[in-house]
Amino acid sequence: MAAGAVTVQIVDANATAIDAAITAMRVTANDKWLMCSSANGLQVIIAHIEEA
Amino acid sequence: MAAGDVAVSIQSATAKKGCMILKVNTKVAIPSSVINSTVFSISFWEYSLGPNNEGYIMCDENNFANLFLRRSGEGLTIDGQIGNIVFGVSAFELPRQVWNHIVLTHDAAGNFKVYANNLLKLELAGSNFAGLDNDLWLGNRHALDRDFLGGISDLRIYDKVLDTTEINSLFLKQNLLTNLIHKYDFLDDSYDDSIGSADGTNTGTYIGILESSVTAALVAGRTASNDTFFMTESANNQIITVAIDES
Repeated sequence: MAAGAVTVQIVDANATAIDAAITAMRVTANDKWLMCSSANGLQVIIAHIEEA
Repeated sequence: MAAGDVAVSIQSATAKKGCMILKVNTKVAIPSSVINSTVFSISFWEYSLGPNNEGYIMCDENNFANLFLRRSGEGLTIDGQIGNIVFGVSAFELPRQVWNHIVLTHDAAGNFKVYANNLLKLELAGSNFAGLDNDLWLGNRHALDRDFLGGISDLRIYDKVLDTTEINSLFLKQNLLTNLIHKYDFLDDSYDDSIGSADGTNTGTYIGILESSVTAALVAGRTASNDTFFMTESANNQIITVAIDES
């Protein structure tokens, strides 16, 4: 992985799943994040952009 | 791209929820262990492209036995069989090319009901259904010769007979979790189920929002480390990503 690398996960909209996804995706303190709901609120899309 | 340039990408799918389009000789297999008793309910959304005759929405046999639901009559009607009870051709009609919500409930006495779009369409008794004989295939029967042409979405299996209040909540796309024992929402690239046992072999084509498509949009939009991004869902199952170049 390097600066600019993008990872996207679609997970169920519950705290456990979101926590696990973000924990697994995070690389550095400079990383950028996006999140929005999908599937009528049943799921969320989490996007992570790694920045060195 | 230069500082201040804006890139907007819209990723969309044809479904309100994730869905799949089943093509020739495709299916999704649900393990037979999921339904191993007389008491259960199946809820799902279907979108028939039609006008194919005998397109099996779901079936657990090589032919019509034990449990199946299909589109027949040039794809205009729903018929099927539960246990030893056949509900014949033209059991009830459903429009094609719109999303229809279907619920099948079955109780310990062999009574079963079929609801479509929140309306009771069929009520029969005397079924000897006691569980799936084989894996439940979505989109085909086990002979792979009766393709359903369309989409199936948000399939849920409950270990109880859903009442009308619960069916209404599912029709309104609420996330009913009580007694939910299996759910396929067709939204993940990997298409793992989130509840229940492992998937069988799945050969459907998925057209819901995919992780890979959102990734591609963001990769294309990024220029520098201080770029700004937005992302939101606009129409159902349509994702807008915005990148502002600040290089």
